[in-house]
Amino acid sequence: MTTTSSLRKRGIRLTQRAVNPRGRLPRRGYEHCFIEEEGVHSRLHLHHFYSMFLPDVNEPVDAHVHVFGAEGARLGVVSRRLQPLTSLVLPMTEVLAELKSTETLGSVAVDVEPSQTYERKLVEIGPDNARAQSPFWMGYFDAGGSVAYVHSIDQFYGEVFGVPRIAAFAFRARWHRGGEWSSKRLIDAPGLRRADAYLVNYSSSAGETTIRWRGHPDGAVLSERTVTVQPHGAVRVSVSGDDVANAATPVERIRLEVDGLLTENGKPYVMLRYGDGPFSLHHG
Amino acid sequence: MLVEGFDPRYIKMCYFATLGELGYKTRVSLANGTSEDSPLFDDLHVSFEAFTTSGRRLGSVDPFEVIKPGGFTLIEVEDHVGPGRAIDSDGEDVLGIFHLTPGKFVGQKTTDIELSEIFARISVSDEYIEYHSEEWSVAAGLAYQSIPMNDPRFGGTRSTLMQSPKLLVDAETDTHLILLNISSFQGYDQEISFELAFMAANGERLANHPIKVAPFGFTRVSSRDVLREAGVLARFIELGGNGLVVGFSDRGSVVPLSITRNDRSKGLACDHTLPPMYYLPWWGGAIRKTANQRVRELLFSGDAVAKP
Repeated sequence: MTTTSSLRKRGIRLTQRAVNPRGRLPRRGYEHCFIEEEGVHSRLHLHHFYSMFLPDVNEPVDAHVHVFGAEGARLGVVSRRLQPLTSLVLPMTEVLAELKSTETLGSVAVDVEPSQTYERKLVEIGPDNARAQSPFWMGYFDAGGSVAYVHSIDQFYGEVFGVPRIAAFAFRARWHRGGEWSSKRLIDAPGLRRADAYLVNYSSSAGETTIRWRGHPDGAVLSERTVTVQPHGAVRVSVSGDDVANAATPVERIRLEVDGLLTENGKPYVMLRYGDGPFSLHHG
Repeated sequence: MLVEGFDPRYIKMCYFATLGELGYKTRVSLANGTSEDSPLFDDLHVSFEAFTTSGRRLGSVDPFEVIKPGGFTLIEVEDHVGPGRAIDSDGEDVLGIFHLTPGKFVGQKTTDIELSEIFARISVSDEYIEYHSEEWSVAAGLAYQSIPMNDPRFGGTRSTLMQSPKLLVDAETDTHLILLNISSFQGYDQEISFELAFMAANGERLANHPIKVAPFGFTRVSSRDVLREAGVLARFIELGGNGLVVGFSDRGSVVPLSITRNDRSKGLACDHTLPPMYYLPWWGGAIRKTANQRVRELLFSGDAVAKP
């Protein structure tokens, strides 16, 4: 570690200590895309993970689900209490109904708030800069028997939970734009009905990017869209089987690229549909 | 940290288990993500080896493809494993390892390498493992980086705490757990005892299922079979058909993968789990050991609570 970065880290540590004198436990959330369009539904897979780390505390915790529309509008917060060692599959239809929202695409960020006993214990046994994070899985399904789930790939930037507002500024996760990105995954084209790329802006600042589907290996552009994505908003860019079939040269495989991820690991999720089969979804 | 005598084939790998028993073929996307401005800029030489579920080495395929920087390839495992292929598994599923050996190490049996360089090369790209069936119009998979594991040269203690809140089981859905016991150490011979606890959404521990995973082997566990054999499948479904599966080993690291299948559509959900550091980035050492011991006492001792 260089002297400069060592000093910088020490400075951050001292600042964090100064703005958090009571030693609260800062918490960072994670964020996922939700999809409620064309028969596709989403559900959150939550669990009381604090009881896995401190099994003797035996108290409930509260999971807060922060919901954003595709254009980044803050739709509200839905909370659920989780008892120790329990889990919860929370359908987005239920979340959106509670918020009286009809959004069909957007993002959700989850913060699991521990009880005071968990917090006190974690601060007591943890290091100086102890913090907690709330990664979770997002599931996707439809009535035709499609089933998919994906783990959190990036944090919910811009907010920190569990500490006062000024302290949150010191504990916030730093983010930066991710630069050009090309998926390392090759997708078979024969039989492909549609491929969808869902991109979320996990950052707290609007950003413009271009999402592009290419044929492989000739690199022909099959579909592309340049979009400005609001903070915590989401966008879909699709390529259809017809786009692939009508390409100037035969396409055997396709791949996805983004001219500028909006955060370092903010890769799109990829939904694939072949023939009349079920969809699949995973991160790109 | 300098790792001495490291087989360079294990610097960058893609390890996985095939899913033929459930009717799917397996293919993997491999890529060379290095670029000219990177100190890691090099060709990647692809070779392959396969093992049985019990860890018996079935055979290997010498380097058969070179991925240039910026290049991609998609490999069907069945091109290398099957009747008349380089490796015949007698129809059984295999644990496969694609080795992506950097050109500068090709021809070397061992090398001395900094651990940081190994991880730098691994982190260049995820590898994507895809299970597919033309008959069912299904192609689904997952991406991960195949890190070296269970290697005594790396020091430290090895344990696994798996918490997977994506246990989906009902009349038409089953969640399969696939557990790989991989090592980057040639002399590795440790069988890993891995305990599983199946929890309903309301926290009831409905079943325990201890398994053993052979070195370089793998095990696939059908959650529905476990619940059925324990006589609690109906109870699990009655409680919502979803829950949490917890896995624990205090000696050895397994790679825990979760594959949920819908029997009607044959659709698959595939993903790995997240280690404790994703929840508490500072978790480790004596604190972790004490907590793991309590989790073990709570979830893996005595009988599961529900009986038919």
